[in-house]
Amino acid sequence: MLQWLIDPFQYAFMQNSLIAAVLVGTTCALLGVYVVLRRMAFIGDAMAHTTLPGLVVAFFNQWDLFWGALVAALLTALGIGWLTRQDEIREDTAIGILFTGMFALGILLMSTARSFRDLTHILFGNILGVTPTDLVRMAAVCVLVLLCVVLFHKELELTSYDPTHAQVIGLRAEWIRYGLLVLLALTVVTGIQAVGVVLTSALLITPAATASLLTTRLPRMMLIAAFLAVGAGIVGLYASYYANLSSGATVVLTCTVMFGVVWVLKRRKN
Amino acid sequence: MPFLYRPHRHREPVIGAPALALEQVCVLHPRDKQIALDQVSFEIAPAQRVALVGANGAGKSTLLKTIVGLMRIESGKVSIYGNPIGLCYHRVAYLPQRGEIDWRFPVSLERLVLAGRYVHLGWFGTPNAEDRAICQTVIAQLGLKALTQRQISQLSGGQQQRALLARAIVQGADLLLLDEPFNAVDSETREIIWNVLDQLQQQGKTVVVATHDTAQLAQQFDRVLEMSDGKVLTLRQM
Repeated sequence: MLQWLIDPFQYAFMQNSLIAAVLVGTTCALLGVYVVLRRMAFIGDAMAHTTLPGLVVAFFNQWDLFWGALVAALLTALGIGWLTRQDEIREDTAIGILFTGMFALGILLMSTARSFRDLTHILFGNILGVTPTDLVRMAAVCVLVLLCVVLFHKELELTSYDPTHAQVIGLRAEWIRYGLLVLLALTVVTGIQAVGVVLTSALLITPAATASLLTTRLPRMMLIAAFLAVGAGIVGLYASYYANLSSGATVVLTCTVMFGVVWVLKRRKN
Repeated sequence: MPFLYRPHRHREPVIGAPALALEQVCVLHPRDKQIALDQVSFEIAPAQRVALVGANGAGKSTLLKTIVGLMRIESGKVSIYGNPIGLCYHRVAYLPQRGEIDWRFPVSLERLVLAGRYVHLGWFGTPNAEDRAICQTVIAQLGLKALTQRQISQLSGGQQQRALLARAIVQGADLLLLDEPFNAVDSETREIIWNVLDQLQQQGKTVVVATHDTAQLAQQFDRVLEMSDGKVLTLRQM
């Protein structure tokens, strides 16, 4: 049994994948808790999809895909913040407009390519193919998110449940919101490497939603969400190695099963 | 990142200045640009308890939000202890209507009340033992001691209202603006709130209460501001 567990990680690419699963899982789960609690669940999916034109442009020009995705995600984050700054357009509407527009642009650009096949790893990710450079970026984003969540805990918390009080005491709630959107953009871009455009939002939302069923304390919720996301990442790696299944799909399905089990157990308990 | 908070200038009150003074204040609704406050002028002396009455939509909440800087002033001037809005955030505490808060968020009652101390902490600051002691005292004063660690969604409407009042009190402000603190609360909560308001007045705090409850105006308030269609119609001494 021990040998079965250790075997896959004799290879360097599997070791890199394991580190990637821990880093991406932790980052997505920490921020995902705020995404779920602030009822922004749609944004993870939207932001992942809006990276498509950036990814395609970078792919065509043989640039680093990370930067193409990051530029597109940051533009989306700032665009959402800008469109909703005056309360004239609701946040979900702004997300809907930018998400569909950017994704359509991405599809349009993809349709000019000779082959879609090369772009499939963009859509579905490949955690087994992460490079040391990818790991450095994932680690940097993870540390940044962790620092922000710890240092600005009270500001993030207060602006989430009572933005009015935040404004009354002179806290610039809109800057916190922009900051959160930028962190989300960075997180989504690293998530794309692991599970792809289509499934990144699941890493943000499902572990956090599962944790929210298990506790009513915010720090504990973050810890549980991180634990679940990392666990799902590791299960995905084993599935890839032993059953030759898509790692991204297995990771996300593991998250979904965890949510289902917790939801059923909680309902039975109640 | 000091830009996260607007600059806190702890400016001292101007000697002899009223606690609150509005001069010809006009405010527009942000969405439709209709007039929300129309040439509003009045003064309130320190240590007074003032009722703000009027029908729904009269402009009571807009007036309170304007005083705490949540609404953009088109023309006119607001002074708090002789200083403009925003020069001293800790001097004004605001109790919003209950519906403005996401009660499902995972914070405890204690944590919600502690947020009243944040104005003194700034960025990176975390509540210390003194902040916690202040909160515990006020929580006990409002009869919420047994509920300190309870998640805020698990509190009754009256308990939530008391928790918000506790948050406003721990701020240590000189001017407290309370928007409908008696709305949908039981008689026990009502009595506790009145006792606390009495204590605040004895401490020299100025309190403005927006209320629909006109039964006790004469007994409980020094003055009454009556509003209609964004205008202050009368300012009665009780």
